[in-house]
Amino acid sequence: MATQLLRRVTQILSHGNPNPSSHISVARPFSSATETIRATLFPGDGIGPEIAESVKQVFKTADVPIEWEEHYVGDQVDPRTQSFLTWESLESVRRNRVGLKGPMATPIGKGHRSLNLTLRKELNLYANVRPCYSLPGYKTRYDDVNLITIRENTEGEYSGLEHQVVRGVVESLKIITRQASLRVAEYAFHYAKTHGRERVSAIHKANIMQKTDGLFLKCCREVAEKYPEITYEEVVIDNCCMMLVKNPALFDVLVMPNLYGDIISDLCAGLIGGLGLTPSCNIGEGGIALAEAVHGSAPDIAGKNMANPTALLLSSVSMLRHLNLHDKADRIQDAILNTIAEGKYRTADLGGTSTTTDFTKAICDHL
Amino acid sequence: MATSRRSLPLLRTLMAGKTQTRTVTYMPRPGDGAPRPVTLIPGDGIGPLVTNAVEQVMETMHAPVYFEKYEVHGDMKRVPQEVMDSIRKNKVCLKGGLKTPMGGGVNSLNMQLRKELDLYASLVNCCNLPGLRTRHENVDIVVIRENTEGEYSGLEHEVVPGVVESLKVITKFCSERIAKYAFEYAYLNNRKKVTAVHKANIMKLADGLFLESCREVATKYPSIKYNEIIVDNCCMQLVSKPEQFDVMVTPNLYGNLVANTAAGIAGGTGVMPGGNVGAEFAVFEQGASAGNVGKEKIVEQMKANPVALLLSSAMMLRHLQFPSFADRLESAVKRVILEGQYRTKDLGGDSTTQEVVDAVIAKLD
Repeated sequence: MATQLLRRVTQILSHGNPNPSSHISVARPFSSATETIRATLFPGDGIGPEIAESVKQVFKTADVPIEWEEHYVGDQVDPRTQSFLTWESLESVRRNRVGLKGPMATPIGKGHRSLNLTLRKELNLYANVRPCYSLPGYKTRYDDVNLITIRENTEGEYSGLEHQVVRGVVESLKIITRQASLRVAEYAFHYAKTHGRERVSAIHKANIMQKTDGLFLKCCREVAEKYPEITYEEVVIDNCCMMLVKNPALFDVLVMPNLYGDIISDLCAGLIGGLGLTPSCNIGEGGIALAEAVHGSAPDIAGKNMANPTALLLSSVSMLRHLNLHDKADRIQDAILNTIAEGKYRTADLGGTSTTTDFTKAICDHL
Repeated sequence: MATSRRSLPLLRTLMAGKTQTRTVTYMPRPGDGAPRPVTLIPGDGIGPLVTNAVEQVMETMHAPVYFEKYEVHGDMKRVPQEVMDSIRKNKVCLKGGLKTPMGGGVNSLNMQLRKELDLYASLVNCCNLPGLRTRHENVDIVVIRENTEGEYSGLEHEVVPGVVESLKVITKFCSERIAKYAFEYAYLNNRKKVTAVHKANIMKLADGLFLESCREVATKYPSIKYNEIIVDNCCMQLVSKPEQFDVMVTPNLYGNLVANTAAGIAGGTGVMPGGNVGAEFAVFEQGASAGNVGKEKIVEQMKANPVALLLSSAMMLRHLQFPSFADRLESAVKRVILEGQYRTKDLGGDSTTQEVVDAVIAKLD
């Protein structure tokens, strides 16, 4: 099955696919800018609706041809999905192929799957992409961060397969498959190519976990041969951690299995200022892209117009890039960065006193 | 002023110059001064360079240790039996790095040593060295990492072609003893807080068992504060607010990452001392990244950083109960770093290993 996948991929690549955003699926005609694209929006809980409102406003001011379909998390478990997300919501994302998700608080209880898990499994979201770049104007200890972390999202250490062998001895399975590793490596190199990145680094611990991370590395090497213009290197995870905290400018695109990806992507988020400023995008089979804000729903400031919409706005920018609306994406991103750089309008978590609406208005003015 | 507790007497010594205010003296038993044998494994890459540095300094100080050197290389199948016998006899070993070949089917020799000698706790001491400017201040973290099980069990197999499984094993026995070691360490070294690092929201049974063991041990040390943090949040906090951490206890893999991150923020793996300890034996080595033996260029130009191994050998001298030699070595090294004239490439300078060693020897009093 893996060889079939490889054959299809090489076919598409050799035809010089003009629409790189959907390299494994049917090419979508994004040529005309006036044709509106439908996108699913999950505002989420807590501060979710306020920041989703921000995004809608900024998009309207920037004339982005997107029509939103809003879906909310229900308050009853839908038996078809076994979670609070309804079947209609998932169908909507599958149909529209793009979505934007705000923070969702997973209700505690038994008998249903966690919301993130539902989305991931049902939509087959296999790669989590987090672009991390230092925001000019928001000073952290690191000024020159400009990297992308691409993390395999379905298997690895998070397979959830654990059992107690005997009392006091627990085993947890880490699973690496050729198919999933190839998939995420393909996406990583493809992303590097379409975004003009020069280097892809695979992060691993193959000196200890020889077969599992060894398989991951083998797949990355195979894909690397197809992209000779992109430099490929392999870095052991402990060296990677150390280099990241000493000199993050050394890295460009990082591709990693699940657990390392989780830790490294949060580490990189910490380098640039925290989860409140980090965009994130999940890529699924068939070219589905679900951009999301990875911070929490912050129920304590919900409804007070104090939330920082930066994370969700930057995630929506990466959604636009996935849709190939690069000029709109650049405009909005520049507006956001300029607003933060100016420093006049900043929300409370960045040390300022502006409200969400003021911040949004400032961004719209910068457009 | 927020100065590290341990460096306070040293800083006092440094500032007082040659006239030292002595603390109440260490009273040895008769015969304690007899030279102790220590197994020395130079290792690969930069290993021989830095162990040679330690030998030179020990020689100059006339420290009551003598080294039994053994050649071990990372591509050997096993650690030779004579080396293991020597370590079992001497109980203490100092080693450079052993290079682990990638994906080659050979088990890491570092891991083999740890498992056979049951060195279940790995300790890395990450603190800011005075004079070495880093992006983070007030870092004083000790990472205690379980060394024998967890993700590094080495139990992997191919289920069908293209699907590989790796087993992560967590046992109550190992989790309990590492938690006990961590709290005992904190108690003996006057540390105030122990933080357990885990990912129990995803790996509920495995890391859940680890956390349970830590909580049980925590109840026996009511004066030490205990809290838990998820590993991804922990890494984020380490790069933004490292001063909140004191002693951290972790399972195997997370410990590797956290130790390297903490070492990186405090100055790099070239300066962090560390060691592995078990119930009967102790092996001292460069703090984090024992498998990292540097690039060939550094070996050729002889510009490896000996500071980490020198500080580890100071730890070893304390372990062997030679506190005054340990103090002298440590203060000499710290003085060299403080002055900043002789620094190797990873600290921003251009000196060779030998120049740093000569500077340390010159500063020994």
